[in-house]
Amino acid sequence: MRNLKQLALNLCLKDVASFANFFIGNNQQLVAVLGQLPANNASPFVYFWGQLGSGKSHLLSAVCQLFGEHNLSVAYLPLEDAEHLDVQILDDLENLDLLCIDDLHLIAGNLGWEEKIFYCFNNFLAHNKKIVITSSVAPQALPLKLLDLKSRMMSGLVFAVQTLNDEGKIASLKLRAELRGLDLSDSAARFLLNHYERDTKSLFMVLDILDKAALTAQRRLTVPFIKDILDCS
Amino acid sequence: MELSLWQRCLEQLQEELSPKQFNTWIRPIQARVEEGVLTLLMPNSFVLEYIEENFRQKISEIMKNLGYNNTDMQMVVGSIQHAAETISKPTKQKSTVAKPTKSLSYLNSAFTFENFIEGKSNQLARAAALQVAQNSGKAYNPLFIYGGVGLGKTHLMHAIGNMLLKQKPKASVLYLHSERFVADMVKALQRNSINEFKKFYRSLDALLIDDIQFFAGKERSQEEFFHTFNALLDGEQQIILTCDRYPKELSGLEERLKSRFGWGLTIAIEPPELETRVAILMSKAERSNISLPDDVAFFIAKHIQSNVRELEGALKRVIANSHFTGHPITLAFAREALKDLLALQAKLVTMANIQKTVAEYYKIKISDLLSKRRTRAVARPRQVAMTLAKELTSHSLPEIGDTFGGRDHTTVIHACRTIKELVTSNPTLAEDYRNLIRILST
Repeated sequence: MRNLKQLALNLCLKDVASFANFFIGNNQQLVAVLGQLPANNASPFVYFWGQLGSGKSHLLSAVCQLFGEHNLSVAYLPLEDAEHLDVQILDDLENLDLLCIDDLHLIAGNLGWEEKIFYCFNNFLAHNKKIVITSSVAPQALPLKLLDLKSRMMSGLVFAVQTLNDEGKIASLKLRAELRGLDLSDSAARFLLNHYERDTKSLFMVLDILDKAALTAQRRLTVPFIKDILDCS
Repeated sequence: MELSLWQRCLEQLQEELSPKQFNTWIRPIQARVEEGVLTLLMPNSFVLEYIEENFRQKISEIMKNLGYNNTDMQMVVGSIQHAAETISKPTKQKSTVAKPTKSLSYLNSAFTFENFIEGKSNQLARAAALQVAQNSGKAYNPLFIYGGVGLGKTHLMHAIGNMLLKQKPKASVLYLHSERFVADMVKALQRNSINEFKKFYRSLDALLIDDIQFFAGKERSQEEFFHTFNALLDGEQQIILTCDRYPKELSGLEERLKSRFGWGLTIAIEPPELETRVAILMSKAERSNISLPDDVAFFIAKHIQSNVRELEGALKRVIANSHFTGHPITLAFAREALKDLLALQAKLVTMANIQKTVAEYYKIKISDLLSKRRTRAVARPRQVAMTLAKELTSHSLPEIGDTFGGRDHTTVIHACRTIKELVTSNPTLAEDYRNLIRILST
């Protein structure tokens, strides 16, 4: 049984973040701008912000994927890991095509990171490269010590990521399930939303668990099955 | 061995690693195949060390399964664009001493005097910069330009550099952010090539260093810069520096450097006034081939007062929305496009924030602002704070009066009238007022 479970784990489809598996909701313009970024030299810097679970990291990964598909090189800095990383990770990156920084707000007040990012940012733009930065707040509200960095964050094309309402979250879950070949009914999706963590990040993690369990048990994603699996896990 | 093999390895790594691991560590790798040998180029030694430690074995295994003989694979620091610089051990690399040519000057040719929008706030700085560009090394040396963020210091600096090169294409002009000077010096020390470093910097016809406040606390860099500075000045080579504040106000900087910065001409750039902000927007729109109606430019300029970069961001947003929707840019359209931004500003500028900022600026207590005291030292800042509250928030005058120790709304009207008059007649107060607006809206 254990082996079968293991097999199921390996067989599970992994979601490579892309624009196709992002439920757009009210974010059409942001998605369009990001999708055109490899060829857009007029606005090389895009900044978008939103709450946890609004899809920022997904969109950022989708941009990385897009650049990868164009054979363009990418530097990606997840600042949730800042304490395990060294600012040297940003050395000499200007020969890459895109700089992505996730969760800029997390290093606000840390002058070492702020200065390094400031320098790296200037260098990228001076070399006509692209930059995408995400944060939980608008540039004007970033508590950065380095005002030079803050003003630069304001200079980009800035978007607020619109958070999904319940209907949007259900549609988003169903889209994700469909892309995995899973049939998730409205009632099952609503059940997840009503009984577990409601942010999309947590919802997708739950879907991942259910996907593996359904494959192992060869069952459909019915409400009783979901209850069975999630109450035990 | 072909690159397609590496592509297949990448696909497999993407399957096996978490998206974060793959994006952070694998995506920055560039690959090159020469004479059948695969070389993986890492952007810097930090990434190289991490890959060696954590992913080398996995990459080797995947490549082996794909039929590649791993003993040939190399991992080095470098990049495709600058393959000649590729080095396996950067600390042992010797830097070469070459005079910068136009392509190596790091100047951004987009910044010129022609597209620098002149207004009251920056006309002195522009005139001085032009003088320096026309009489390099002789007019004012060093030229020290200071002012808040996003007001055009870097633009002027590049404009001087570009003009110098236009007049003397063979001149060696170098623009650097101070951080780069520090980084280059540290590298030179590591590589035992500090003499080449000195020789290089002292051979320049003009050295332009941006944001020298970043030298603060970096004593070894200051020492090195001090000697470079003296050598260049002795040779009548031009030095141009920018900083976010007046030299004497820089903390963490040696006194001898501060005093030398004042040997030439020290000049300030102030935040642009409304008309200049409008002109800046018009000029930026024109460069993007957008016709921006006057009322829209005034609307944006009136609401965004902090710095030119924020103006630029707001304009970009309006243009992007117009492109996306196909709707022409009108006042109502711009208002809608900037709705979030303006709402956010209103939220950030609160009464409490204004009182705190004004009290800090004038070094008095918040309780003084709210007290009944009417001495000039307290009454003037209180009037300034009330005027800022009227300009930057949507609170009613009775509400403002109430927040300032239960004063009547007529007191607020009187305060606003007094400050409005003083702004035109008293330059110190005018500067204080502009600074406070900038601090509150940045």
